[in-house]
Amino acid sequence: MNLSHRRFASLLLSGLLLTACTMTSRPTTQPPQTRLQDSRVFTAATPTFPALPGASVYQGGYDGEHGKAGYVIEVPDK
Amino acid sequence: MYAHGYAGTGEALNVTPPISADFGNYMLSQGYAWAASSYSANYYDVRAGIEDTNALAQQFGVLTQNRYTAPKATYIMGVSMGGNVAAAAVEAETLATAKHKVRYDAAMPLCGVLDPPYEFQWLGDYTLNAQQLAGYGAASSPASGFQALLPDITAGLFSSVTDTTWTPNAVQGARLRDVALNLTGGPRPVFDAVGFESATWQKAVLGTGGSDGTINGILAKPIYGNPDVTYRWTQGAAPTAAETAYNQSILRVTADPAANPPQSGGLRWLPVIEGTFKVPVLTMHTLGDLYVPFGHEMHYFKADQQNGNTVLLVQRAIRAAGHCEFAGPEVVTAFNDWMAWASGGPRPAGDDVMTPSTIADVKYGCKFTLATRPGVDACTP
Repeated sequence: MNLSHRRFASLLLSGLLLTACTMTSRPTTQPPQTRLQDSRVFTAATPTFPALPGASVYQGGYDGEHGKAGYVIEVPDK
Repeated sequence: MYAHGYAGTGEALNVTPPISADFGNYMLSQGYAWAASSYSANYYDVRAGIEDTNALAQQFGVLTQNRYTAPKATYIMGVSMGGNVAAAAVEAETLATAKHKVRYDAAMPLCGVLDPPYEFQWLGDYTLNAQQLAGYGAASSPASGFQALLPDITAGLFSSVTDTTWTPNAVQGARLRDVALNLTGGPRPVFDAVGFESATWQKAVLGTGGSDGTINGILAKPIYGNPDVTYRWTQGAAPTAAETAYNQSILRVTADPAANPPQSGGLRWLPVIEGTFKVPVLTMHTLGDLYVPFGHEMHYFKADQQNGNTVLLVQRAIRAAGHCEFAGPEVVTAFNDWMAWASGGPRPAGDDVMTPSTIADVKYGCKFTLATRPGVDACTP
C-alpha cells in the first residue's frame, strides 16, 4: 500500500468511525407519542356490594393509573 | 385478584364481581378472599387493568383496615380483556416495567386475549374480508364508511338474519365463514356450525369494522396490517385460483412498526404477552368464540413453547359457541384444579390445542365440557 492509499484508508476509517460515533450518539428511543386515551375522563362509580353471610366486604375508591378507580374486597370471616 | 373484561367506551367505571355472584360465593366458601378493581379507565386499556389490579393487591392491608394477616399467596384470574390482564400480569416484561409490581403465584386467564396483536389482526381481517366478499371492498384504510355500509354488507353475506342466528349464504357467506375458520384455528367442532352464526357475536365483531387500527385511541399509530396474510376458504395445501385472485384484489394495509413501543416509566400501552411467565397458568376457551377466537390458545402455546415454558401451562377447550360461555361447574372445576396445582399439587390435565387432527375431531373439547349447549352435539351418545 503506497502513501496515497494509506491516506485514503485513514480518511475512510476516520469517516467510518465518525459515522459510527454519530450513529451511536443518536437517541435510540422514539419521540414520545400522544394518544387519545390519555385525554379521556372517567368517573368511578361507588360500589355497593352487599356483604355475604360469613364474609366482610370492603369497597370504595382508590388512586389508579388514570385517576380514581372503584374497588371491592370480600374476605371470608373464617 | 379478579380482572374484569372489556367494559366499553363509557365514562362510568364499575366494579363487577368475579364471573358471577355464585362464583364469588364459591371462592369465599373455600376460604379465598377476592378483590376486583373497576380500573381507572374504560376502552381496551390493559395497562390500566394491570396497574390498577396490582395497586389494589398491594393495598389489601390498608383497604381492609389491617384486620387480616397478609395473604399467604396472591393469584390473578380474569375473563376476556381481563384474561389479557391476568396473562400479561405474570409476564417478565410486566414484572420489570410495571409501576406497581406484584408477583402473582398463579394466573388463570379465561376466554382471554392471549396474543393481543392477534386479536386486533383478527378483527381487522374479518371485517375487511366481510366487506370484500360482500362486494363492497375497501379502497383505502381506515374504511370509514364501513358502519354505514354494514346493512348492505350483511345482506350480501347472510341469507337469514334473526335476533339469534345469522345464516351465511351459499357462496360469499360460506367463504367468509371458512376464511374465519382458517384465521381462528382451523377446523374444529362448534365454530362453523354454531359459533359463526351467533347474532350477538357477529354484531360485536362487525361493530369493530372501519377502525383506524389504533384500538380506539389506546395506541397513537395503527397496529393492524395485512401485507403478508393469505386468506383461504379451502383447506388444500395451496391456494386455489379463485383464492389467489381474491388475495390479489383485497386491500393491503401496513401496520406502523412503532405502534406499541416500550414506554418510559411504565408498561407499554398494550402490554406484551410472550410466554415468559414462571408460575402455573391455566386457561380455558370456548371453541366457537367468534370475538376472541380459540386461535389465541394456539398463539399462547407457541409463545410458551419458544420459552421452554409449556410445563407451566394447562389449556382447556370447552364446547360452547359464545365468548366466555362457560358453565358454572366448568369454571369451578378449572378453579379447583388450578388452585390445587398452584398450592403444590400435580399439574392438572388439559387439552392439546396444537394438533390439527386432534382439534378437528368431532369429540374435541369433551374432556372438560360439563354441559351440553343448544346446537352443539352432546359428548355422550
